[in-house]
Amino acid sequence: MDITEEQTGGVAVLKPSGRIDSATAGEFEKRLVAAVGTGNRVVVDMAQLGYISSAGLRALLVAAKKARPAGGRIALAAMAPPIREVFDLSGFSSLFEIYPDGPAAVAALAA
Amino acid sequence: MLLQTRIILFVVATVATVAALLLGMAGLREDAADRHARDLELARLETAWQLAVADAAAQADQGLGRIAADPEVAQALASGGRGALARRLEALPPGLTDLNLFAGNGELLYSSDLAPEPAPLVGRAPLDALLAGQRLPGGVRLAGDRLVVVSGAPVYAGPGVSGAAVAGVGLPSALDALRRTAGGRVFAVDREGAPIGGQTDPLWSVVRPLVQPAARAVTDFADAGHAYALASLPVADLAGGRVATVLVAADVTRAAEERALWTAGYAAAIALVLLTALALLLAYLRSSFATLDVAVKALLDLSQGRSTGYVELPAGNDEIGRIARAVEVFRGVMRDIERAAGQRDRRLRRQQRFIRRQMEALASTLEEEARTALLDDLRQIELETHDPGTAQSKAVNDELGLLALGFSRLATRVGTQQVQLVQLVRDLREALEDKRRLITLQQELEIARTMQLTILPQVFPELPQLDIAARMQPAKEVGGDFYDFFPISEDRVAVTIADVSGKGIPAAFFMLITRTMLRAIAESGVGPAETMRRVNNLLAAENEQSMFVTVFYGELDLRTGVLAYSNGGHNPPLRIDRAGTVTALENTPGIALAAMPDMPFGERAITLAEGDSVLLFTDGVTEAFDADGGMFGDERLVATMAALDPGMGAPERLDGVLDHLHRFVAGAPQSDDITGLVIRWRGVATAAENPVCDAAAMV
Repeated sequence: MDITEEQTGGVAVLKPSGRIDSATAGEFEKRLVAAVGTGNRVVVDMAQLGYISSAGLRALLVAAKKARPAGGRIALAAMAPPIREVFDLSGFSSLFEIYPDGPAAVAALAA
Repeated sequence: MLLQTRIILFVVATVATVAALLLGMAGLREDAADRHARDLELARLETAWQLAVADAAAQADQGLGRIAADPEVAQALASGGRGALARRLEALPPGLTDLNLFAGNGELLYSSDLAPEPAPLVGRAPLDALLAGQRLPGGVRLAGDRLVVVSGAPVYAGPGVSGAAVAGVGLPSALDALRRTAGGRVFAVDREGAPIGGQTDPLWSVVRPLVQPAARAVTDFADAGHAYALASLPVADLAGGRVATVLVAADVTRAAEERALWTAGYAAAIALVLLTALALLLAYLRSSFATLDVAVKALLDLSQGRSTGYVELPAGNDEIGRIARAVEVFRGVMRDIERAAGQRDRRLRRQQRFIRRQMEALASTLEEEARTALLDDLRQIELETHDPGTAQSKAVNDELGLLALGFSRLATRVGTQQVQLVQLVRDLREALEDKRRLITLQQELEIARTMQLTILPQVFPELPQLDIAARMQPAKEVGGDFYDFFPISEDRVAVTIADVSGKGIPAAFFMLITRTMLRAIAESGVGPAETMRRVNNLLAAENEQSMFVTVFYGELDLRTGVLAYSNGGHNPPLRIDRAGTVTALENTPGIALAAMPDMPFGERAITLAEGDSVLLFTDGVTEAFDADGGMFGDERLVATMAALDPGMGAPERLDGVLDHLHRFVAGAPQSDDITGLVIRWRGVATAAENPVCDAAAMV
């Protein structure tokens, strides 16, 4: 798993690529929590993501719980169908804002 | 300026001063002697002059004697007969030029001077002395414009003095007498400097400008190759006062020549002696300084470190000899020092070789990289040491420096390695500690795994309506899957499968808690959705770790075959009917439990037909990977289910699915728990005999 990070209009965009499983979820969680910081707006662009395990979901959950009280927001974007299925299946789709692509997510958060 | 030059200059100056002093003093002495000689010459000439005057006076006396003895003259004087005197003395006695006869009363009765009023030859005072009977000493007297030598005598007539006679002889006769006695050219001038004698002498023209009438002195002059000494003698009148000057020019050519010769000889002798002394001194100094130069050169050589060049130094007991000996000693000491330095160099080289060997030996104990670098350093030192251009001692020093550098690098490397080793040992110790802890932990994990496995029901009740099989294949690490099957009332049983996010002890504990809560709340009979809602809220309330668990929970009514269920984020179970058609159980609203409190959960119900089977599974099944990273996936699972004989019992069906899965995975490492549970509805008819007691016996 690799994560690239960039700032677009006050929104941090994290692009993980490869697999987020129990071996890499720790790193993903660390980066995500750091990006969220104290109430930042973060988009996780999943266009390059091939797989996410329950550990990855947990990392997202941890970040979301940290962001929420400080007014931060996490949006997910560009999910491939298998990824989307994982989110739908686990019900996590109802916990996050999900957008079809990165720019849409950034626009939504920047607004 | 060299010392040699300074000494020579000093000596030359001293010699010149001494010579000047000597010559000056000789000159002074000669001047004094000369003056003395002149005084003597003047005295001699004066004496000669007086003798000449006396001679002339004697000549006058001779004539005077005859006159004085002449009785006629005496008579005439006594009587005062001028005429008689004049007649008697018509012819003057020979040799006389002047004659005066005085009466007894002093009256001039006769004078050879024919002038009307002739001046007497003597003054009143001498005349009175004459008349008193005394003789008049001879002397020079100015008679008119002539100079005469006069002499006087009283004239006796009987016993008394009747008168006096005074006779005079011309000055030339005195001058002639002087010429004879003094032996020179004689001249005379009057008191004004006018010549009165000797002016016919050819030398007069030369003498004339030199005349100083009043001077009594000797003057030198030269004429026609001859040297003369001109003596000037003032001549006094009888009555006092200067009346003339006699000049005598003596030929002193020979004496002057001799004197010049002597002077030259004297000066030459002095010069010769001094020059000889100077030359000897110079020669001595030069030879002395030459040896000193040798000594100085030897010292300079020593100072430039050349103690090997051999220079013969003069022996001797003087200062130079001592210096030479000192230089020799110094040279010996220098040779000793150089020899010692050479020995020290060799010793240093031996030590360096030793140190280098030791360093190489030490380097061989270092790790590969450090050893290579160190050996490179040593090779570099070796190269620089054998550079032929460098001087010996310099090379030794440089080599020492390089060796020191190499040694310092070695020390650094050994130090670094030591630190690394110490760190390694510490790490190792910690690793051992970790390992010990790991072993402990693994034992605990083993316990946890055992616990996980033991709480899962292995044996299911023999129910007439239902055939059940379940199995969990745990991954290497303790996972969070579990399944359960338990009665909740007389005719209802609960079946559930769940997957806790994460792994390890926390997952195991979370699993335990979830299972316990689920059982406790399910038995209260509130139905699937409400059970899920409550469990969710309880789990989410204190969920520091943000763990969650996907749960499929169903309640099967054994009387009707109705399966009511609620799905909290779990993989939908698959149903296969007798015809072999596989369908996934339709999802219900819900989310993984513990993720967020107060989430809504829905429920659905299906009615199982006789022979229907339902497979509950976790994502460990669908997300099992083969060695190439290919995922087993839902479709393959559905296909597998469909491929199996629809009439199969639950255990066979579960085995079939898992066998297929294992074949797919083909030994690739298992990353997640693989859990599956199959129920097969046999139908109400078959179980009608005694359904309740069987279900109750299961608890």
